[in-house]
Order: sequence, then structure tokens, then C-alpha cells
Amino acid sequence: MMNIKLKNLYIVCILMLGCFISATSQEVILIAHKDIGFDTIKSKDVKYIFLGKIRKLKGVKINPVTIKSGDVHDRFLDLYIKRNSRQYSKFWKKILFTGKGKPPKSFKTEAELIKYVASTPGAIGYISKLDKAEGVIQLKAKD
Amino acid sequence: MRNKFKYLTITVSLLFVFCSGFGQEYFGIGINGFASQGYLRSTENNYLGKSKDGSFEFNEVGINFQKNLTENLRVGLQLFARDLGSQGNDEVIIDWALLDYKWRSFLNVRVGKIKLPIGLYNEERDIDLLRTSILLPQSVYNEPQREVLSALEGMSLYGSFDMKKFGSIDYNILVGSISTNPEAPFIKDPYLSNVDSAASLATSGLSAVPGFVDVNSLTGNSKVDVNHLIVLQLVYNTPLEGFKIGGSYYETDLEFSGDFALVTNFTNPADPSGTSIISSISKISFFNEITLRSGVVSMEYIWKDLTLSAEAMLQAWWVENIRRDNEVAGFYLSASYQFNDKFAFGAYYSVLYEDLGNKDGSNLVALGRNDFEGFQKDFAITGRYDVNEYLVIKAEVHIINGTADVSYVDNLVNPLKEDWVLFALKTTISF
Repeated sequence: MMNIKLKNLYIVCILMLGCFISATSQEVILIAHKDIGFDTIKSKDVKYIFLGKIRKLKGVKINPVTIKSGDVHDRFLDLYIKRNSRQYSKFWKKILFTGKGKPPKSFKTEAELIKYVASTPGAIGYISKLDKAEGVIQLKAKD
Repeated sequence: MRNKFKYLTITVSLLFVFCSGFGQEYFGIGINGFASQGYLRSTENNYLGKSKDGSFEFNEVGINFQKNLTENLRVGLQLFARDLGSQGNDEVIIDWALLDYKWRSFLNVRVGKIKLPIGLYNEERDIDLLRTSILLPQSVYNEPQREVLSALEGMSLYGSFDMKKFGSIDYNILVGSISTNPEAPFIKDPYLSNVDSAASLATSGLSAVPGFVDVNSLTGNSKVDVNHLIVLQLVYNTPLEGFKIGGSYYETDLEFSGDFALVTNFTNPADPSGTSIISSISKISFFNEITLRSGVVSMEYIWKDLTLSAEAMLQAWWVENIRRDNEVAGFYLSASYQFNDKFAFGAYYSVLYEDLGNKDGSNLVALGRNDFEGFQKDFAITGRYDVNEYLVIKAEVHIINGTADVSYVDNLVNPLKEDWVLFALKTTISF
């Protein structure tokens, strides 16, 4: 009896873990202005764009935008930039206060970010759900 | 100048109060700023000011303005004032002011006043909020040299090469010159030391002469002209995430010149009472051509919330007139850990040798100095607390052996002590 319970618990745990992985991997959706001209992007290029090292991609001037804070922001940084939000903020403060550049424009809400991306050629951002994202296209990241 | 500092502080404070988030933008001009106030106290030896009695002469205020003029062209300027003992004295300066043209990721150009990329942290040393420690390791980031080695006026070529799976390489090449302040301790201290040495030498030479009374010195002017400065930096971002190694090199020709007077006093042989004095004044001018070459090798590894770094520095001085050279060397090992969003802890061990060929300072004894003035070994621990996104509080303790980096001028009255402890507190706001 105990073995069956343990087995059931094990299955439940595996299923929950599977759901968790599935949920977290869907938490970050890369979006871009609809006329950006491509729908896939290398993960490394995403990193370089949001660290200010790349300004043009496939001939298009890129304008990255971020969410100020929250789960989608943390998840995006973890997935693509390989830094946490504190390290990312410190990275840009260093750039800002040493005269090397300006950080990407940031927004408090996803709705504000979507509106900006939809109206700004070359804009790239990230959101958690594609449902209400009108006027933008989804970018698929590849390694 | 104090008033200008006051206005800068008020401006930064008001902007901070009215800013709802990090940074503000008006008409496309981004405005950001920071202000910090610190306190230093040492058990022995005045260090970076009159620290033995406790010193609040430890602050920094900065505000910058930046605007993208076109897609590729940006203009920016940062006003900055600081006080650290006899350094800075809250004089408002242009910290950096530049035009930045971004052409390709591998080739870009900046012209204007540009921060110097010496080691991993020289460019950001004015910005306390970017690091865990209060004082950067003095073996590589020497405070008295900070006013001179902060920024140059000239141009820079910089960029980054992506080497695919082998990581990337960032480079930075700068050429230009530096305007120096003759009151900076980096210039003033050796000048005053030279004046005192000349007076002592004259006194010992004349002491056997009948009727000799004493020699007094009158200070005059001194200045350092930097003819040119070249800085090169390479940083290799390895394929191992967060691990980078780098090297920086700079070379400069300086002209160190000045004058002073020695007043030599003798009793008047014609006056039998011995009360009247005959004085002669000798005006002395000096001019030295100095070549300075320096290199720093660096390593930094950021793994999750742990940051490890290590750097070593070699600074070679060549004084043309007396054909004398000297090599200053130092290194440090540092670790910092962010426990949670609020609290971080850091520690480093830093070693500085005033003369690499005489690390124990034994040669200094013959010159009437202490052997421990030849080195400085500093073990520092720091606690950092981020109250919120804008406010940081830090506390730091340094356990120090040796006085190689202690100012001659700040310690004229009391004899130097070999072992001492320095406490530092600092708080910074930024927006």
C-alpha cells in the first residue's frame, strides 16, 4: 500500500514538474514591430541587443524595450541575458554613469510595452501572453 | 566653488525627490544622478584626509544629461564634485563630456572627455552604488592618482568582436591629454616633499658653518603637464558565462616643474649681541621629464550571486633628468556575495609595494624613513544594505599593515604607525 502511495506521489510530482517547466518556458514571448522583416532570432543576438552590443540586425536598426520589474522580466533575463534583475540594472547603471550609453526604454506594464512596440519600427520586447498583443509579431528564438 | 557644489547638491536632491523612477527624460534628454556621503576614521595615521579624528570630507555628487541626436550619434555630459580629504574639495568639474558615434559593433568612436578604462573598475570608481566595497583596492585603484587618471580629453576607438562559440573580445583605444590641478595631492605632495628635502639638505650642509642659524622654505608654484596619454584595453569574455579576463596598458609623458625659495639665516658677525640676523634668499626652480608606463591584468567571474575578481598592476616611472627609475606594483583578490535583494557582503586582500625592487622597504631606512613605508597590506571586509532601488548604506573595516599609500602631508605632526585599522561608512542615493 505504501509503495503504491509513493508511486502515485512520484507520478504527481513528475506531472507537476512537467506543468511547471511547460508554464515557465511559455512565460516569455519575444515580440517585435510587425515590419521588422524576420520572425526568428538567435538567443545570443537577443542577449547582445539587450546589453547594447548590437544595434542593427539583418540590416534593421533595433530598438529594445524592457519591463521595469516582475516575473516576466526576471524570466527573460534568466533565459536570455543570463543575469538577474539586480545584475542587469547594475550593468546599465555602469554604462549610464560612465558616459557609454543609455539603457533600453522600460515600461511598467506589458500593455504599455506592446503599444510602444506596435508603433515603433525596429522595436523588440517581451511579454508573458500573446493574447492581447495586437500590431506586433512573435519572434521565435533559436540557439 | 563651494557655492557651485551646493547648487549641484541641491539640484541632484530636488531631482531625486521629484523623480518617480530611475532616471527622467525631458525633451529626449535623459537625466540621472547620484550623491553620496561617507565617514572615515582610523586608529592611527591620517589616511585620505584627517581620519584620525574622524572625517566627513568624503562625498561625491554627480548628474548627467544624455541625448540621442540621431540613430547613431549620442551626446552626453556629467557634472561631478567630490571631496576626499585634500582631494577634490567639492570643486565642480566636467567628469565626462562626449560625442559618441556608433557605426558597427566592431568599430565606434567617441570624442571629448572620456573616462579611462584602466583595469576593470577605474571608469566606474566615482559611482559607489555599483560595487560592494566603499574603497576600491588601493593597490590598483590608488585614490591620490584618481584626479589625474580619471578621464582624458581626446578620442577613443572601441568595439566588440563576436567569436561565436569562443566568446567575444571588447577593445578600447584612447589617445589624448589630461588637464591637471596643481593642488591635487598627487602633484602637491611630492612637491612639498621635495621642498622639505632641499631645506633639510641645506641645513645639514651648513650646520658646521660658524654663525649658521637655520634654513626656512617658502613654497611657490608647481604643476604637471601631461603631453600625451595612450590607453589600450582588451577584455576577453570567455565562453564560460560570467568569466572574463582582460588587460589594460597606458603610457604617458609628464613634465613636473615648479619653484620654491630657501631662506638661510646667519648671525651678523658685526653685531656682538648676536641678535641681528643676516638672511639670504635662494630661489630654486626644477623641471623633471617623467615617463610613466603602467599595465593591469584582470580577471572577473560572476557566478549567480557570487563575484570573484583579481587584478595585478605594475607602474614603471622613469625620471629623465636624474636617470632614475622606480617600479610600483600591487595586486588584490576580492570576493563579494549577494545574500538577498537587500544584503551583500564582500572582502578583499590588497597589497601595494612602493618599490618592487625593495618590497620590504629596507632601503628606506638609510633615507631616514620607516621600512613599513615601502608596502601596504590591506584586508578589508564590507557589508552593503540596499534600502531600496535608490538608497544604499555600507560599512567597511580595513586591517592594514604598512603605510606606502599614506600621505606625507597629512602626517607631518605624528609619527607613522605600521599597524592600523580604518573604518568607513557611506550612503548613496541615485536616480
